[in-house]
Amino acid sequence: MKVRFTLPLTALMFVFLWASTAPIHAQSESYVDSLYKASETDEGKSDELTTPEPAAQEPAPAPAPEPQSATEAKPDDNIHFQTGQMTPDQLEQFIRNIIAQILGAGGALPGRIIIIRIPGGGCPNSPQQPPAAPSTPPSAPPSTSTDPSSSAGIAGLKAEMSAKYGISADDNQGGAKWSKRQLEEANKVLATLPAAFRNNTKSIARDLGSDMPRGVLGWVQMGIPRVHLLNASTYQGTFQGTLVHEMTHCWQANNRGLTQSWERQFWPNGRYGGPQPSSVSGYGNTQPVEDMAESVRQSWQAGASRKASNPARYEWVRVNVMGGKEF
Amino acid sequence: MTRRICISAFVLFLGATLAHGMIKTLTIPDLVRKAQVICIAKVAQQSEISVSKEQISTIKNVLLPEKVLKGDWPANEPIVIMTKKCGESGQIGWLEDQVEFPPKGYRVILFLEKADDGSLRTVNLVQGMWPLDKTKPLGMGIGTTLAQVEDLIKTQKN
Repeated sequence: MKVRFTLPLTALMFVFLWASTAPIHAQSESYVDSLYKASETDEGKSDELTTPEPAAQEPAPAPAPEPQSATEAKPDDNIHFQTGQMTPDQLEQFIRNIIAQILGAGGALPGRIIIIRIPGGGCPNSPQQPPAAPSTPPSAPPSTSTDPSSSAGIAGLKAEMSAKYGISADDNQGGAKWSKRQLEEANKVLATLPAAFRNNTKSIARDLGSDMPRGVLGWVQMGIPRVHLLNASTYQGTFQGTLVHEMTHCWQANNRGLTQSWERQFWPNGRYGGPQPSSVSGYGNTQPVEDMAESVRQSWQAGASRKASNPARYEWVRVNVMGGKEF
Repeated sequence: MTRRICISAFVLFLGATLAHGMIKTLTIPDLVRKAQVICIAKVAQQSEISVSKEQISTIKNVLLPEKVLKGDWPANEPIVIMTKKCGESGQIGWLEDQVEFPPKGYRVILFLEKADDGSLRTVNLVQGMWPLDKTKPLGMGIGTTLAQVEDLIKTQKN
């Protein structure tokens, strides 16, 4: 009698514990995997730039799953659950079957199984607010996944980027190519940025980065309005942040006076005297232009947090770069 | 002379493209762990030794080690590091993330590792070179003290 109730009870606890962690996997690893299209040779998952971004809060609906080998890289862009490429409904049914089997094995009476879904909304303690709700509405809906244009695939998303923002999405060095998911994310980022900032960038190139040292996420050569996004950057949060960081270098090339003004304000002792106060990241402490690029990235990616911790930089970025827009 | 050349470290930072951008930051323990040689050195000489047709300069940086914190390095042997440069920071043509040493007389902490060809290079590009303001690290070392670095080296050695 005791065993009859203990076994199903233990099994139920296990199943609910497992089910409760599924959304976490869905928001992190599997999402990251879907964004990541490169060979696993970098350490992008462990960097400091994995701040939650609006896209993480609005995952695209998963399509009907297709059979897929675990070792075969499938070139689609949709979010999959970590376990078995399931949609939420399929996952629920899967759990339902397991419970039914366990109860059946334990000799419990058959009955209706009710599974309560707890909607995922990110960590409630997250200190950073996503820039999904700027004070002024973006020029386009941030989520392209529900837009009919997303179904047009990669070509459609590239055309959308070009038509809406005047930026070409180029497949570039080393054979790196844009994935649909990456294009969706890039378009979402661009939609939130002010046109005066965005217009300094004319192309965004995916770059394999095989001839770059490990750890390089993206690059720009000052004066050439092209952002290179390397495979190492294609992780949730890192991808979006790197894009904004590199776009800032394109902005700097066309705003030399303001860039020098930044240097005078935050690096009063010169480049080798260090920033005053410290930049928003270690990388930002290396030199004034990186300090600004990091400050723009973090103002966009974690505005509320930056406003509190480094108000002078946040305000400078808001006024001079973002045209007064709050993030 | 040959021995001197062999002992000197010729650090080649870049691949063919010579343009690097935003990098992923290592944690300080990882930076220390990856470094095979960590030392405090003084910039003794900087000279442009060539300019490519793309106007990219190769700079020879000679540094004199003052204190070796990790690894083995002969006390009186200069560290020679070759870097690339194109334009000044933030100006048109400037290339991101080139390791650029402060002027002659400045002191730096170097985190060096062996490249595939056996030469030494800074760990994680610009993260592996911290200018020093007296004893206070600058660059990506801001917020970390020398004592903390030394403690980490001790801890990781044990």
